[in-house]
Amino acid sequence: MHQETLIKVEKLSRIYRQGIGLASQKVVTKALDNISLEVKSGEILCIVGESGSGKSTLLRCIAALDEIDKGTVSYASREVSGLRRRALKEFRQDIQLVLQNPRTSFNPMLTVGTSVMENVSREEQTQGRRYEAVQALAQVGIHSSFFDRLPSELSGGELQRAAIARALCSKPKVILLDEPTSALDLSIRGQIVRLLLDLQTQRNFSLVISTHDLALAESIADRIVVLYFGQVVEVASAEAFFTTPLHPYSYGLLSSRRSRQAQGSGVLLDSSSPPEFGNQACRLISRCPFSEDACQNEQILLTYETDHYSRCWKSQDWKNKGNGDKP
Amino acid sequence: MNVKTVLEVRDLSVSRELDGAGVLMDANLKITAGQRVGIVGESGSGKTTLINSLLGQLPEGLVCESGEIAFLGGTWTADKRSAAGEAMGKGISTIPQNPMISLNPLFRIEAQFHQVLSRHFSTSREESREKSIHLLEELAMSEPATVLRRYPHELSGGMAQRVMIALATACDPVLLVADEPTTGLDVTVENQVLSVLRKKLDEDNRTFMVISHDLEVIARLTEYTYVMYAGRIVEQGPTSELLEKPAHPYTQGLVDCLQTSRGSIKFIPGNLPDFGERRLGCLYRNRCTRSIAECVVQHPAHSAISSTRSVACYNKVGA
Repeated sequence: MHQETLIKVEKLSRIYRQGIGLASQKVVTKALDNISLEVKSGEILCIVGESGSGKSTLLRCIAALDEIDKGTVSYASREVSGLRRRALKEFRQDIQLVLQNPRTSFNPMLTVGTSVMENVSREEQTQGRRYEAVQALAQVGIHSSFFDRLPSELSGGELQRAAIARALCSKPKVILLDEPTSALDLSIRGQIVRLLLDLQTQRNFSLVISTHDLALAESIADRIVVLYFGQVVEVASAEAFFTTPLHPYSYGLLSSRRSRQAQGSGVLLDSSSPPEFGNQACRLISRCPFSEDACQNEQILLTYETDHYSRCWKSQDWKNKGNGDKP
Repeated sequence: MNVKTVLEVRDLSVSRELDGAGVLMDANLKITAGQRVGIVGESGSGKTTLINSLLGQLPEGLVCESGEIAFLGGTWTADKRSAAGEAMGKGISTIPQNPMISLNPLFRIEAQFHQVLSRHFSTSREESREKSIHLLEELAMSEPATVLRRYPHELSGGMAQRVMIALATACDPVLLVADEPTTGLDVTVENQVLSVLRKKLDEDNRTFMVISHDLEVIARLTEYTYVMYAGRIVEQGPTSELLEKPAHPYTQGLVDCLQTSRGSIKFIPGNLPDFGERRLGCLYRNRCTRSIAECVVQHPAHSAISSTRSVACYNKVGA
């Protein structure tokens, strides 16, 4: 099936410098390092990684809410950094960001309804805007009696649904969600997933979800991008990622989830020492139990199968070994 | 066999001062020496209020209606701060939910250890230092000496949580309480923290209580579990039995939430009832698939399933 590419990220870098003045050049954190990826129309893409891997920065860069140091983000074949006035406004309507913690993303002084209404096009009359907001809230299962309540009067799950309703109001083509369920209970997590899947089928927008919760990714994603300290280390279809991961980091993530369920203690990724940004070596080298001398060389994203990429030179070996004693 | 009871909570009820809505209703629980107990429930189910009552730290606006807490021979009610404070200093210590806001950002880790250790054991700086290095080593912390020189903001989430565990166990408490110890940590780090915590508990044979909304965490750390829903304990029993054969429909729902597969994820529809709506009948009935006519009339009393298990439900799963 041919899918149109909506968002194209090319060689994107975001660098944080610490210190003031001349010293500022010394400590450099590459929050995003040469990231390229595509978001196709109607797909659900999950960005997976630990905290500090750059997930949120990536989403903010895509939404044009953060500066870009190198590279480009383009939407519908137009470079986002070049957009001005009306075009930028349209872009902001088409791309909506839902933040991690709904408690902090709603204005505590405004009612939920007013907050949601703010996102309905101003071209409509107040009554029409109110109607749209009520409709959107109804769509996420929030009764109209909640319209005039303050955010503090709603539970976390309800607020997160209201945040999704707010995003829906501008009729977006892409919704970016930053850790949508991490502030919620497990019993509520499934509600949000179900809701997103239903809305996605009805309206056919694209979803980009950042998460460290692999259960969430497994239940919702079409495609997975794994980030590790600012680099894309693996890109795969969800099916391939959960059955045959190719990068040791992906393998580590999956195995810590499995050992969690089995009550075991097999920890693959042991120490969490941060990588050296200065040298070329694989950034996982200090944590990876399979590292060899060749890992000191720069690793590039290699294609192993159609649409399955891994930033590890040993992935081919593992792939050949099959499922048994991986990696 | 006569095992010493460490902590007992009897008929504890806590309500809101404003409208009298029940936050915690008739909570009964008992922890014996060396036992590891888990309390599971959603946010709003009263887990944290329960712990706060134990510590005599009920926030403004909540009042204790009835019930008492017995800990190591002493007895007090939930709003008696002084008595609880004394008992707590002697015997209860907590691992808080967010280590980053629990550590003092202005002092090095070393100073925070010294503060705790010198207060309880009157140790000198040198002695505190040695002891804290030892404590951190036990928790598989690499280079504990450098960690001690750091400020809280220089630690990662997993490291900070291990520092909190070390601080909480530094004074050899009779009861260790952990409030959502791994919420907010990554899956890899969580795995690590849980395994060092578990190892430490095994080594010290410590009496332990953990609250979490995550049954997997409970399963990994405890042997006995209380399930809370909307301020009431609805089911209790040995953890493994409870997970294998849940009797309350809510427990069943929570267990189901753990199972995910490609393209599907289970959940419990609906929300916890608001405090104002928590009146008659079983509070879970609106979300329950097994509710019957009686559920509307009165909240079911606990009925025993076996000598160690009981459930508050008229229409138990598997009955």
